[in-house]
Amino acid sequence: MSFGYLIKRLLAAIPVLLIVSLMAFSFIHIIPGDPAMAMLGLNATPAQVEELRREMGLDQPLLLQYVKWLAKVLQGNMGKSVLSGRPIFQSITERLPHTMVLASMAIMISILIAIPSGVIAASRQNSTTDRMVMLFALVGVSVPSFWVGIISIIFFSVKLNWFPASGYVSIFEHFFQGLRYMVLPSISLALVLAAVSARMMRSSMLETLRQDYIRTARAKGLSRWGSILKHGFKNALIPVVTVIGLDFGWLLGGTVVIETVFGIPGMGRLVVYAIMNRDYPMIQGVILYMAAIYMLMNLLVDILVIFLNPRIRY
Amino acid sequence: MAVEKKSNRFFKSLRANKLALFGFGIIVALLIISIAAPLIATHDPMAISILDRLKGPSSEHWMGTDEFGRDIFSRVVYGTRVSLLIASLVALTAAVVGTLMGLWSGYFGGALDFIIMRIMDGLMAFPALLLSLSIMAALGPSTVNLVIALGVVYLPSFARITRNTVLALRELEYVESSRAVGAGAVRIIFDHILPNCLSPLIINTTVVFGYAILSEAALSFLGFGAPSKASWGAILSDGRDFIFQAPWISIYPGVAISLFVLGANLAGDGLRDILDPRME
Repeated sequence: MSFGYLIKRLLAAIPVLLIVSLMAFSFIHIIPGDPAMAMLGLNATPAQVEELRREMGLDQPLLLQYVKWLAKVLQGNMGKSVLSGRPIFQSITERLPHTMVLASMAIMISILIAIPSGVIAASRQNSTTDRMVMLFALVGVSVPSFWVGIISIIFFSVKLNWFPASGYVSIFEHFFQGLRYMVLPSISLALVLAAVSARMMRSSMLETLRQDYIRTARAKGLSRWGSILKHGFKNALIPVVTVIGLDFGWLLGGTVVIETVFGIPGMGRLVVYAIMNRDYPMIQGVILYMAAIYMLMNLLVDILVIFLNPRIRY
Repeated sequence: MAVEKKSNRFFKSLRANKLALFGFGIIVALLIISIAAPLIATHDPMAISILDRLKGPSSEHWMGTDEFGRDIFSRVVYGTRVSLLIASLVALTAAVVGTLMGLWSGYFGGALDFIIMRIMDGLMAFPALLLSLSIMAALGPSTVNLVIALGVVYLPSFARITRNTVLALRELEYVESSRAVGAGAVRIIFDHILPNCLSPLIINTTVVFGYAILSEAALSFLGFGAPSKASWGAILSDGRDFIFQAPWISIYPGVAISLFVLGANLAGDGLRDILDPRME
């Protein structure tokens, strides 16, 4: 992989980051009426509103507000929560690990389901197995993940008593205990992801198996599975990795709902609580942070794709 | 004549595509349910009956009752109206605004094209659900705001699809010649360019229709849906506090949501096979 490409890819991310920051900044200004008043509620005195306006810099020209805000954000200072008075950055860094554990477990489970089922489906195209995998993929993208979460609580926690039905233990405090609390939420998210990736894996594998080099490998005497695993697999994986990267945005949105269903104290719960209590600076901080993570993830995926396929040169 | 032939071919391919037909069947069935809701519902969906609260499914209440003793079956039937209405408004808004933006961007290019496309990049950089959530948080709860919040999320896909098609078509001979005979930009766009963008746009609208139901359900579930409107997502959300005592409140609206999205996905896949010859 060329170092130059990496630099180019990083530089290309800067304008989008700027637009994203501009949008996150504008967020406070699309609130109808005065944001300070909206945050403090109807019982606030004019003096309190004025003070909050000054504190948030709302009395300054827009462009100046943006530049000042951006400069602070770049130093890791996203302001303070209107609700708790704590620095937003601190709240986010406390909550982020829970969300990341949930998201990574969901991705891992989805890969474990999607890749084998996609490969098997493609290698036995039009068989019953293939049809079952495709049916699963179709149903998987159609069910709401939070509903899967609720059903899994009813079935696995209440009826079978395999997993805790409520409460939360952090995986960072008690690893195995915490893991038990993460299984159902991450499976609920993983099913949708697996459905999308399995479909992609299947069609990409079918495409690869039609290539000349696979025929050559078979002609050399390599077995069917040998050619699939040795030559086909890695190439077929490329579109799947891209899809996983694109789905990461869905996943981050999905964690918001799943964290609410299972009571996981992550970023999602943080933002829902902030919205319910009109903590606008907190909402702004979380959306900016989530967008940045999403962009970073796609950057990593782009780099990973180059590792998988050295023929790609930009 | 030519148009008739084309539509005949379309219906012929559709009949051959059993899964797509099944998908359209689900959508049409749910549309009929939403129109004929008063005839199908067995109870008044709003009727409160404290004596019947949290009853399980029975011959009287096919899907059980909620904490106010309201009949879940009738609520789900009426919820079809709300969910389908919101989803179609979202798909329509995103399709119309996104397509117009894409047409402008692709045909005229220039600074506005640059600005529009950068805004689309920005919108796509946010996780979709989070974007809708924060727009709802900023604008406040109302049905119109919900349609805006969800529409904004799906708008970039339409703008991009249209713009890419326009860029490919703009330099083609028939567009050139119609420009040469003095046709204005508006006429060229609507007579010659837009009809050629329709296939991918129809496919995308169908898929967005399904996703809009899912997103609406997620927002309603979190408590940021259209206020006092019992969509499927809202009914599902009502059952959240009773999943141990009365799981049916949440189970059935979820089935309705999944069924509809399945229908939209099947229909979208089928349309893609039929309308997009590159995929054959």
